[in-house]
Amino acid sequence: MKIFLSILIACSLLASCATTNVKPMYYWNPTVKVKNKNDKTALVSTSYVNTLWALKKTPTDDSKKAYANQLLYIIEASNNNNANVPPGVYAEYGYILLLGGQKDESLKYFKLEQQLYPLSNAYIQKIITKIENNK
Amino acid sequence: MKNKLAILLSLLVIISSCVPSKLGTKESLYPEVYKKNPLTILVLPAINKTTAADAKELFTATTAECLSYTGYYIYPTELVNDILKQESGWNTETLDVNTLTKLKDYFGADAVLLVTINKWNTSYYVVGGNVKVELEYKLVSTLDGAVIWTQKISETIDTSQKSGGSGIAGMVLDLAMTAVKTASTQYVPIAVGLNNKAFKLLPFGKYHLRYRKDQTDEILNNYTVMPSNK
Repeated sequence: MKIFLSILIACSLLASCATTNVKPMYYWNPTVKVKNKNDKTALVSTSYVNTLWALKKTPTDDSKKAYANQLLYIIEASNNNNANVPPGVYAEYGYILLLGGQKDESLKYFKLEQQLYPLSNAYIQKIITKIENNK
Repeated sequence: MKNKLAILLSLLVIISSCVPSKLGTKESLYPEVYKKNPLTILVLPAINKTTAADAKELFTATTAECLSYTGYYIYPTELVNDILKQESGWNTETLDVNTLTKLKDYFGADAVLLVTINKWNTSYYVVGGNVKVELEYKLVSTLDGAVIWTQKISETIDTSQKSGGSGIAGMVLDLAMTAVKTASTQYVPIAVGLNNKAFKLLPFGKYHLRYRKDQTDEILNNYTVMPSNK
C-alpha cells in the first residue's frame, strides 16, 4: 500500500513537470483558409518569422506581398479569436501602406495601434502628425 | 524489504532528475527589472561578432515575436530599423547615454534589448552537421543605461537531416541536404528556440496575466522556471 501511494505521489510530481495547453496570448502564426488554383479552399499554416526572414533574405515584390499578407492574417485571426493583435503589428502594416503611398489607409492602422496600445503613443503620434502635415 | 527500498530509491532518482537545482527567485536574480518596471522594450538590431553573414538579420527578424509573449509592448522591428537608419548619430552598438535618451524621447522606450551573437559556428561532416551558438541577451534601461537583465546561452544544436538513403549514395545525399538545410530556413527554428529559452527567464510585462505575480518564481539551473502559486 505504501509503495502504491509513493508511486501515486511520484506520478503526480512527474505530471506537474509537463506543460498544459492554454489559449495562445497572440496569433502570430495563424492557420488560414486560402483558395488554391482549382478554387478550392485549403487550410495553410503560416509563420510570421519565416515570412519576415524570407523578406530579409530576398526583398522582392513577392516576399514583400507575403509579409504584408501575413500581417493581415495575424490581425484577422486575432480579431476572430478575441485576442489582442500583437504589439507593433498594426503599426507595421500601416507603415507598409505608407511606403506604398496609401496615406489615408495607413493613418487608420497607426491609429489602431495607438488605441490598442496607448504605450505606443510617443512615436505613433509623431508619425501620424508627419503624415497629416504632408498630405 | 530490499525490493521496496530499491523501488523507492529509483523513484527518488526519477523525481530528482525532474527537479534540477534552484538558482533563486526571479526577484532575487533580477531585482532591477521589478524596481525600474519597464513597460516597453525596443529590440535593437543584433550585434554580430561572428563571420556568419546571416546571423544578424536572423536574430533581428526572430526576436520581437518571441519577446512579445513575455507581455511587454514591443516595437515593430521593420519600422524601427528604418527610423534608426534615417537618424544619424544614434549609436545602437555602443549604447551611450545620449543614444539611450534619444530612444526614450523618440519612441517612449523604457528599455532596449540587445542581442549579441558571440559564436555561430556551423560544421558539416559526412554523417551530419551542427551549429555551435553563443548568445548574450541584455536588457538596458533607457533611464540610466544600467543592464537590468542579462542572459547568456551557449549551445550546440544538431542540424543533421536523415534522407533515408543508405550506402555511399545516401551519405552523399545526406551531406548535400545538410548543407542546404544549414544555409537556409532551418536556422529560423533554432533562433526561435534560443530566444524562447532566454525570454522564459525574464520577469513578465504588463500585458501578461502573471505581471507582478512572478517575483517568487524559482529559476532552475537548466533554463526552466518553476512558477509560484500566485
